[in-house]
Amino acid sequence: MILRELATRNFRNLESARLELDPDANVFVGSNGQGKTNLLEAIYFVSTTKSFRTNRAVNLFRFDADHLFVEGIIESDGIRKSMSVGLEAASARKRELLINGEKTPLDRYVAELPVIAYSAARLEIIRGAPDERRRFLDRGIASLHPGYIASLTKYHRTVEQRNALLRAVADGEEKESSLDAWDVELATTGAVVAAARAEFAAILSAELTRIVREMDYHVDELEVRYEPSGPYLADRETILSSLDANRDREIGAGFTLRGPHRDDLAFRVHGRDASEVLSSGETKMTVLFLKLARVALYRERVGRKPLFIFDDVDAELDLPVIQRLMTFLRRGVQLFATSAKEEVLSRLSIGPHVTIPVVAGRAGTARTEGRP
Amino acid sequence: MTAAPLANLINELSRLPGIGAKSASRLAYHLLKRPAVEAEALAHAILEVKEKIHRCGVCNNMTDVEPCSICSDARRDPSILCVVEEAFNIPTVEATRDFRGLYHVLLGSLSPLKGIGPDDIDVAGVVRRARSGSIREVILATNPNVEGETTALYVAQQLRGLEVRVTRLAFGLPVGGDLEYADQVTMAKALEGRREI
Ligand SMILES: [Zn+2]
Repeated sequence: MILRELATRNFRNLESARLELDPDANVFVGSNGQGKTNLLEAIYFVSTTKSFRTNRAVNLFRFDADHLFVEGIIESDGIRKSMSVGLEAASARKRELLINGEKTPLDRYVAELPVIAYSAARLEIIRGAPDERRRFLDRGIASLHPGYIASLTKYHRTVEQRNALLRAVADGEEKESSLDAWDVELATTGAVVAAARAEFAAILSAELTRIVREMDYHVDELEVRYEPSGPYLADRETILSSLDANRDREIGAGFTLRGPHRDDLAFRVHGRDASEVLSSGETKMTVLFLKLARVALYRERVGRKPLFIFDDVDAELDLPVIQRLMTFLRRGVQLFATSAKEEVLSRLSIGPHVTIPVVAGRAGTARTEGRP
Repeated sequence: MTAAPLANLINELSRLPGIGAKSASRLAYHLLKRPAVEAEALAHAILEVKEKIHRCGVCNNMTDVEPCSICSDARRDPSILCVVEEAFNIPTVEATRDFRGLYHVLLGSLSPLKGIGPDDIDVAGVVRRARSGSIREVILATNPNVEGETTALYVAQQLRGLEVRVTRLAFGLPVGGDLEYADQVTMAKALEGRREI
């Protein structure tokens, strides 16, 4: 799948325009604040309906605009399709998703154009709270198995229902025994989520080790381990008896204390917490390698070419490694990168690509480079 | 400013499920344009349904006779009971023509978030009928979403210890789906592939 064109209306500071894109690599250059990262964000948005910089959709609207719209023209095996996301400022949580002009449910929409993004905000994967890492896991699994989103939604719904029941039991409105059926449903849906996360963490870890070695990076003792909350990887009887043992405490708390909604993913270097050991530069490189591992897994398991978003290439310190990384990426992604320093880029051999200058929210004339 | 009687109609219509403010207003203006006899026919149909249709005393299905035409049909197999959430799920199962047993309508599904517990739906009715002795199998045909599945689990737990085979539909439906949208073929497969729970 290739993104051939991008059109935006009222998206951040971007001028409403249609932009043609290169099937191999696109580098947006310009000084800070001109809008080059906004273009990457619009690409990510049309693919995932979300932003990689903010969780608040209101931030995406051009000042005073009451609606926004982003459309992509995608191509696969010579067939072109349009996909678009529309948002009203008044109800920014409701997204109108269209493929070829037809309304499409979220799970089908996001499976259309897979994208993997790296930006400074992603450092939260290592430094942030566990929910960042759960999201990272879930996005990775969903890109390989689109049906996972439905399983995850089901689990979260069960937790919500069960929490409401725990409070009702505490208030004496429902009998304690009415928890039995919800415990079985929780054990069933939770086991599906835990099994998928354990499997993904294992293949991700192996792939990461391989990539760090290939990149010849000095932090090579990095370990990624899935840390499940509760015995959800065990058999059903074990899960149920653990729920039973914790029942009184959970009724007291009024919510489900353990389960995949409390999972974590541990990053360790020589057995120590990576967020304490790694320098800022090393953290950046590690997150970048994690993203490459996701690219490799996606290519291997799905057999298609994902989009790769790489914000602020020159902010990475380790140029020789970045060079190896670019060579790695050339093998199998459609690249979208930004840079403030063209001279840094000129020292990297990115391969055939177009350079697009961005000034005041406006994309200028593209220059084709590295192609005869 | 909308005239009071018109505003009143729009308000009443917008309380119907699936009807938003815009559709309610469109329907009201449409009714206004049509001849009075049409409006009278509609009003009459609504009143008649309220007057003549009630819940079957045996199975909770909607009926104008007592018991309903399914419960009183001697050709049907009284040893199999199909449990559904709502009366409007019965036509979906009937459309397969594969099921010749009887029904029991639960009148909802368990949902602590909506304050609906086991006493708010008719699980007791299923247990009572299963205890009566003539039933060999109870098929739990609740929706394949979290609430429907948990309701099925709950009913199955209540039937434990009785000499009744308890089965659940095998769904090829998308997870979290709704029985209402199952086509004939999917529904027939779900019935055929039912498993004990
Ligand atoms: Zn009846």
